[in-house]
Amino acid sequence: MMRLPRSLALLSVLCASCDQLPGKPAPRAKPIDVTTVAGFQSYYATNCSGCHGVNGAQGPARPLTDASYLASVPADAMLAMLRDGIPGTRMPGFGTHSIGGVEALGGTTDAQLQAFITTMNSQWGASNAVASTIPWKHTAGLGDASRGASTFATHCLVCHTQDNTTAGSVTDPFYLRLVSDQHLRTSIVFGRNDRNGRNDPNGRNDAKAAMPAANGPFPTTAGQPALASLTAANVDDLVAYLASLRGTGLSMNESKDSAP
Amino acid sequence: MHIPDSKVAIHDAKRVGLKAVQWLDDRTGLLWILRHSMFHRVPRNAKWWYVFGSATLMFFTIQIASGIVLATLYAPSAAQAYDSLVYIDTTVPFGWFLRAIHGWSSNAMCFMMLIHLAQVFLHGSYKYPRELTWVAGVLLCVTTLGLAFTGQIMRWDADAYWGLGIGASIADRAPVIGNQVRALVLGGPDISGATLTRFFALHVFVLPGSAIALLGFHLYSVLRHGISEMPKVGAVVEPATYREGYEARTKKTGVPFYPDAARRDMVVCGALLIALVGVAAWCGPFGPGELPDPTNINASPRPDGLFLWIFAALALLPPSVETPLLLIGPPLGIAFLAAFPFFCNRGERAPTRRPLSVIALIIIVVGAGVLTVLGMKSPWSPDMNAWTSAPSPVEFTEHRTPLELQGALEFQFAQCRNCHAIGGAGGERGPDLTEVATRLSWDQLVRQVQQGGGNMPAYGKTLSSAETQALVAYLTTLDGGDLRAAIPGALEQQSSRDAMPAATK
Repeated sequence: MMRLPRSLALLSVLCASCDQLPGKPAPRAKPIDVTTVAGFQSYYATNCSGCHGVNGAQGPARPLTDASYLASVPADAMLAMLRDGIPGTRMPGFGTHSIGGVEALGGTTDAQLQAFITTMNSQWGASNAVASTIPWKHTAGLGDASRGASTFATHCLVCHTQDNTTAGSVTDPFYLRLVSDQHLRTSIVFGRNDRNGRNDPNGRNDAKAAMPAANGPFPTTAGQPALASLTAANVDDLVAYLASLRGTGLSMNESKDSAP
Repeated sequence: MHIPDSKVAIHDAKRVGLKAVQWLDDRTGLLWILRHSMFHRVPRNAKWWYVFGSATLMFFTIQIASGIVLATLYAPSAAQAYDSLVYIDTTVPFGWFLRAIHGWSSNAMCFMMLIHLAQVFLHGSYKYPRELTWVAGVLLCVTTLGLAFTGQIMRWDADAYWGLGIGASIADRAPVIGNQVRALVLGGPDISGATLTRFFALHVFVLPGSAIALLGFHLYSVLRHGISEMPKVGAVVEPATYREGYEARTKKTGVPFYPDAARRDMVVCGALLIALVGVAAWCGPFGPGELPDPTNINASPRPDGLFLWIFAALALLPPSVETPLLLIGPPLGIAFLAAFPFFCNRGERAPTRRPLSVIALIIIVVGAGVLTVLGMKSPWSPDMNAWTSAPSPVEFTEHRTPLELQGALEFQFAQCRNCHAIGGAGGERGPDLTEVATRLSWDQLVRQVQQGGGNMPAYGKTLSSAETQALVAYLTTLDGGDLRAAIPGALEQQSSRDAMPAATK
């Protein structure tokens, strides 16, 4: 058998390994694989973390780490939100087309968004999480504002005082003009378990409880009996009450802010 | 005695070979040139300082060789250029490596050339009788920078496209002939296929041809005048006596170029060559970046490293001096550099006796370095992705009221974050707003948001009153943790102000 000179053998090994050199450019146009955790995290960090928080919570917008919320919103509704955005809100669409003039960041296919939702559910959802018994979706015209006012007084006013001392006012017309009825409903039904209210202007670090979901438990003033969970009718009434405080004479582009 | 046939054959072959060489030398003088260039005597003290020119020459040789191969693979047409680069990168065996070598060698060549230029300037080697060597060197420098710029255009990606756009708009500023100059550069009114073929011709014919011609003269001059000695305090250059003295000294104490001085060149060139192969294999080729897309407002084109300082200088210049500086600065600077030895071609060469030259060199090097670093960071460009990718710091969303949280959302959605950082993340074009509440009162914030000013656009027409209210409510909570108000009125509670918008109820 003929033997290769050692230098030639070394050279051929070198040449064969050249294909794995770090400088070799990666193949072009490789889409982010959102089915992997790393791909999901990188897509989330680039497109979502600005509003929804660095790990899906504690951003200005709705926390996505809420397992109950993830279990309650049907897959097709979630896909529609991600793909088309939510008209009249600050949520842009990420799909390949836009609907209703919402600013679409665009470029993500339905299949990728579907994979994103699957990975999001496996990351932040919980297998034992049950959907809320109260419908997540807002339907206009169900509630009664005056009944809502009394529910607000019993369940909400402990924290959401007009003077902004505890959790901050939610009856402020400026706030109400910036959020949709769906936003109000989602906040009431699911609460915000990632967020603490503010205590008083001079001592923000003394955190109060997180905003509870509709099934409580609701904070009470000392000595008072515990409050019952909110029913679906209560939630409709509360949304109707808050919507009635929004006012009517909207200016400029606010009509889109306060959909519907 | 018997002589073996093989020895006779070798002897005959040698004789024929020798005859051929003699014939060639007789007709061309090649042997004489070779002998002279290899064995001419050079000053003994010419040590490691003198290797930069040879290193530049080596990289230029690599550029020619790799460039010829690349030219056989590259399609210089607007429709195919980008695809042909991708083809070279992905399909041609070792194509990516060839591109990496060409790209990195180009940078290395420019870098070595600039060091060579600085060293020659520092040592005053441009003085009598080497003035024209210097002039050829300055022209080589311009040609090489031209090669680097036109090479970047060959990538035909977004950087190339916008780089050309900027170049064309500079040309456009020339009074009277601006339009004609732009048409000449671009091959028409706009960037088109004609532009690419024009720059291709420059990159592979005109500029390399000029470089080879200038280099020939440059090397001929070096051989004719000999390399300069190390500068010595008191060794004054006097045109009347310099040449005689130089010849006497090199005859007496000089050493032959080969192998004494060439040895250092070979060591340095060998080391640089190994480094080049390593860097090319490790870091890969340059680009091609994204495809040019005029509708993509997020494109932040920037030139290659070598031109970053110009990029930074252009971004930082006040607009009023831009045009005169752009149009007059470069030609004047090059002319001054080339003409330099004609103002001062005699006298001391030692840097210690030429403080002005040393200070000027330091200022130029430090200035170009600082501008390059600034060009890399380009803090004047907004960070176009910050509004979706820079999370609001938790300490700046914690314990906020619902209205303030809507303001935080507005802060992201209105893309304030692209220019303003909070909590260390975001653009650097505008001031950091981490502590803005201590500097501006509620009313001042409203005014700034609505009317803009100080390079900030006015948002009065894009933000509604409720949006402004929420945004300002959020901004007034940005007190950097627990800082005190820096001005009267800042950080005051504003909850009762304008609680009811006039338009409601």
